[in-house]
Amino acid sequence: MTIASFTFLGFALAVVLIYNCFSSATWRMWVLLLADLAFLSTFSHSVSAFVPLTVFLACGFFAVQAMQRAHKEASYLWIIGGTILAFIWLKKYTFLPHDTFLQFAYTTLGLSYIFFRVMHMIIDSHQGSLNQKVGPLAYLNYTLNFTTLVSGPIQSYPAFIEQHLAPVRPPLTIIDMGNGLERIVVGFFKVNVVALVLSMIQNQAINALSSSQPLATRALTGAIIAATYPVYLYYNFSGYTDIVIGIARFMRIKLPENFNRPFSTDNFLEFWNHWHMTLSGWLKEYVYNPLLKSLMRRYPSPRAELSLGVIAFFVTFFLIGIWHGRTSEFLFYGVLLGIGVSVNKLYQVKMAKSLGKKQYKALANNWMYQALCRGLNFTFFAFYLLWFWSTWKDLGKMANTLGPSAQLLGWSLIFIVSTIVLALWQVVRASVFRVQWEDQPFILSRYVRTVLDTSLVFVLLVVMELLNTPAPDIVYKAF
Amino acid sequence: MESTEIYDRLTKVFREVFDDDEIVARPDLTASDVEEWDSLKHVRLILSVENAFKVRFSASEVSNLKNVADLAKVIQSKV
Repeated sequence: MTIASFTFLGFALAVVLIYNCFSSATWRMWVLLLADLAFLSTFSHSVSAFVPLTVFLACGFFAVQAMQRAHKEASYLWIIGGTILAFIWLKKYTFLPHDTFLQFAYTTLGLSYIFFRVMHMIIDSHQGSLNQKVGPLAYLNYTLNFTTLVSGPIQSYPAFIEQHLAPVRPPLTIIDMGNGLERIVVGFFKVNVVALVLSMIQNQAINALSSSQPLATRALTGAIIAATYPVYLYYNFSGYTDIVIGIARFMRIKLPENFNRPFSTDNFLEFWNHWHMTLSGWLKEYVYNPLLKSLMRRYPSPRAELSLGVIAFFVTFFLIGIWHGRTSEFLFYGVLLGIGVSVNKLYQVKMAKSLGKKQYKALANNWMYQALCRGLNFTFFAFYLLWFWSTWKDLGKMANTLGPSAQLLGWSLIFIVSTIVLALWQVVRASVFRVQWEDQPFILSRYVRTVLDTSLVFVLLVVMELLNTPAPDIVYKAF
Repeated sequence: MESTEIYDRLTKVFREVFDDDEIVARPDLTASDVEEWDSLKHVRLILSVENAFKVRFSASEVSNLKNVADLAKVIQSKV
């Protein structure tokens, strides 16, 4: 079942209505579990396809139980290692021998997000910071929650339990329902109109690319291929996230946000604080901080601080990269992420040292500098995403077709256009938000939003009718 | 441990970590109030606090601190 479909909306509406009928938290949890299993069952009709996932979940549950009973260091390390190994093995990472894999078709849908949730519960149970007793019903609902199974966001177990088992549930006001509906509409529009059109543009450009094109046309085609994907990915992923956040609102559940205007950021580090925020937050909590802490404990000299920080950044971002996929392309993607974050950090420190903190701060606040940095940020994002959506073979073919001159021209074009477009967007957005009405920006008044959302629905229906093409599935379904 | 004692000791740690004799560990102080307070300094600060109070913070405690009041609360619960 695709999340950005009317079938899923109908399913979610039925779940919301039944879920809200019960005042008992236990009954609500049973309703949610049935919904989770029903949703999961739409992805395969074979019972055996779910066996590996079931075993992984069962092992995770017993691991959490064991950690809650006793915080033994030796068994903790075995459990953490075993969970990571089981995840890598089930996902069939290509560096493992092929003969060791299970030789029948099975589903790993949502396994990457289940893995994060299970790891979070094991680590926090071991460290004594997960005080709630984890029962099987709550565990299954937390790991298999149908709203967050495929695309996240990654919510912490305490936040999940606090909302689902709240003795006094927050009221579901008309404003909540309006906000929820708006998120669903915006999400549907992003996925079924913007992302769909962008994927069509990119596919057309890929098909049109040829060595017989003149240099300028080839460079433009190459630029379109590389630059449409980051924007497509944003609309696809954030659109799906909007839909599930909107649906959860109707269940009186507030899911964490995953995006906060990432293309408005002007450096690599900041970008990842605004993009897939729950993933970067998870890795910061469980990889970056503990790793840096243990490195600093081992090498306490403040002079080593920057080098240790760069190592911790590199490892964290490398892991972000390889979490996304099991092939060598993702390994390289991880290396590029690691290099990007390391260079960014070293540059910031070097600039602050050579210019002085005040001067560097003044430079960082200069609008022209910010615009150029935004453009560079976007260009680098488009560059490293090549290994995210393509393969070595296809990239080699495209590089050969383009040739060095068209590649250079294409990337320059992406940098110049993204710098100008993003700078103009900042200006337009700020101007729109300056128009006030009743002590708030006019654009945020409920009348304007109602008109805008209604227009989105109208355009959405027209485009869906005209194109008659299903929207691309969530990119992250594969992870 | 009294909360005034916790804040006094925290102030000492903050001054050492951020190399700033003016800084005072107030309950409402956050990372955005201190220019030097980035992700590197945050971990350095946590380590120094652990050493000063002879406590250990869990991964979620390190990440979920919103201000110095939260930090003081966690210390209070451990000493």
